[in-house]
Amino acid sequence: MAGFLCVAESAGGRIIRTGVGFTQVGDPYQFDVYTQDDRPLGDDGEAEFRWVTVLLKHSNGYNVIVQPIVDGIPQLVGSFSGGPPPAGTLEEVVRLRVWLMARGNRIAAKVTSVSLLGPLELVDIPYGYVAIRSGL
Amino acid sequence: MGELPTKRLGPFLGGVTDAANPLIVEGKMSVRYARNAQLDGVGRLIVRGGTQLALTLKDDQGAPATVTSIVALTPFGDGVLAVAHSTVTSKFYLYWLKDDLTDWYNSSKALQGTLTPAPIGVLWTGVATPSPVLIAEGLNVAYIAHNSPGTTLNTQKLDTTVTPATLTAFQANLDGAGVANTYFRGVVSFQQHLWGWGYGSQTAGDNDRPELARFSTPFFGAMAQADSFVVGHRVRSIRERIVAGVVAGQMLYLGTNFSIWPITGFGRNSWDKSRPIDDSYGFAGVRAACAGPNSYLYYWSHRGPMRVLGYGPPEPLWPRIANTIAGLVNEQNVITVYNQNADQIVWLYQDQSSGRISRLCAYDVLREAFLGPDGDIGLGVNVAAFLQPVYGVAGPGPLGPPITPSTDNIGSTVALAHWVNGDTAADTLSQLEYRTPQGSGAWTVASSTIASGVTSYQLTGLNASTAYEWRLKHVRNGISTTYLGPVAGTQFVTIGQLNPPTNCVLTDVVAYGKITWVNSGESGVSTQVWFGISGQETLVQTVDPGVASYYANWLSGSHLYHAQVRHVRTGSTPSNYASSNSVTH
Repeated sequence: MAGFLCVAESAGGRIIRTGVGFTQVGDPYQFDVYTQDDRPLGDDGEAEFRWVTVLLKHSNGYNVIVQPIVDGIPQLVGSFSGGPPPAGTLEEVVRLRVWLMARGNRIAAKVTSVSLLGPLELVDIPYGYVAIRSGL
Repeated sequence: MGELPTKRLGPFLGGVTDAANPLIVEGKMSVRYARNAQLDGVGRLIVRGGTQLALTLKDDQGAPATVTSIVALTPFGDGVLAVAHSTVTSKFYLYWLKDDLTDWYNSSKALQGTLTPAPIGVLWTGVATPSPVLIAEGLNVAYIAHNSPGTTLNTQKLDTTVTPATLTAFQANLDGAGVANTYFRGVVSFQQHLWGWGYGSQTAGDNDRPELARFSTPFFGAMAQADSFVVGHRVRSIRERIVAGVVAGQMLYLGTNFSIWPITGFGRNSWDKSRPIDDSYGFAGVRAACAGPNSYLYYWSHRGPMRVLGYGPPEPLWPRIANTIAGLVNEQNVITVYNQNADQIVWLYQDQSSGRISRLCAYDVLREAFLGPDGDIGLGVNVAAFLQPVYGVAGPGPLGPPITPSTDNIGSTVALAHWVNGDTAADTLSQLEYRTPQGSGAWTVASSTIASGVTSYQLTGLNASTAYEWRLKHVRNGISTTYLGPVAGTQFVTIGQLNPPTNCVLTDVVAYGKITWVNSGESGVSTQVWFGISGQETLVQTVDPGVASYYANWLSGSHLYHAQVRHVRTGSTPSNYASSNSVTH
């Protein structure tokens, strides 16, 4: 990194670096990602969505909530937390699975951190389903 | 289970946007919105970095610092210049900072070794409210213009070719009436000359005209010629005026409030020969434009974000921008900056009601992907800058602050502080400070060099029966985390003295005198056993913590014996004695 982006305060005398660590001058912030909907069986199909698994890479622990969303309706959330990767490893990809067993046409997922312990990367969000009928 | 179908909602290739103002990037639609997340250079969707205090500017009045707004921040030579305003003193101050923001210079360019810079000069006085300030850099000379109309606040010149540096009014003969102070609304360095706009000599009647002046000021010492003149003066409407001038590639782009003019030459008719490349939407604010890579100019117009290369035409970057977003910004609150680390042009927007800054949107110049709003930085911001240290690389700061504090082994003069490290990098040190009384005492640095991986520190030299608190931060490459504490886990009261043991009993077991007692239960306390002829007891042994008995040898002859015990621990006042019964043997 050859340089850094910094901002200067409009209501005070502080000059702030950005992109440093995972805390914030002022209010804390959270990682918050909401995917687009996916329709596995077409525009009019119907499926029994069984599970959603978030693949999350971290290097210093994680504390997140995973919320599947079926046909725009938020489902029960799963809360997940863990410490740093095992000794000798710098990072790990954890699988955070939520069983939802919900019937519908489209599915999305929301991943939100409760507290930021370090770097996070949202690697992928696979999901499983049972086909009920395909779209016309 | 393996035979049942699965699909994926990722990977997350692009098109980060906001739920309230949906944005569709064709073919890149995996994410509906992502706040406080960013796509990095290889397309990973990662949490964005945090923010951290670098320097706190103070005014010329000493403590308390009363700087209330920072209105300019720009690289200058191998350092940085900043301008701040105080509503308390009604002054504008000029600061000279080290390029990595870890220190600051006085007017003789000597580093001062603190994180609270004092000004090297006062630019203007008697101004109750701040307004943007623009700085143009020459070779060790800076020109500083106040972006408000009128002939009150003259353009200033900082000359660092002499020691100490001098701050004087920038003067020129613009109207043939002789050399006089100048009053520009903005300045920019282009083609080794200084350019100013919103020109006004003191005798000019209209100080807010779209007029551009070029100066052969001594940017390059004696090479310069003293031929300052007006380059052009275009008036299409009395309402038109120059908002800002930005150099991108070989062009100087002059943005008025509703047009953009490319300037390539530096003759007397350079602007008169120019034709507008955008005659509908100009710059939306004095900081609405910046140069991107490959000579592109990126700017926020009154119709949203655009870019242009050469003579154009301008290219809208957010064609379907909602009017609610396009109309959000005005001339005061949009900030454009090129973040070289992320290869993104970033537009920051300050909400006028909350005072908070948000990333309005960003444009990834490598992937040509548009990234929508993604979060609140948590405080109000007037200016932003990408600073690139000239002589050194700014290393990374600590990953996070220490967490989970606790204090134990509290004695009369010592206490043991514990924490969990927020960063385990080998070059991350910890600094522990303590104070008394809690909440108001001055902090004393116990150690600023606690090694990486260490998670406890013994405070020494404390006073008995006194309330203390400690705080701890990580430091890496000169960058500090926020402090852990003071919170409940870092507050403690030193003890007066140790609690004594109880139930001390001396028993005659023929060959020995057996002394037993009950320990107080305090952690780490040893026990001194005193034994002998009654009234002449001597210390016979100090037994380890947890031991509660001792066998003492009788003396020859028959005597009346007595024993007493007390607890001891390094850093604590010994307890009172617990006395046994007397035994004749």
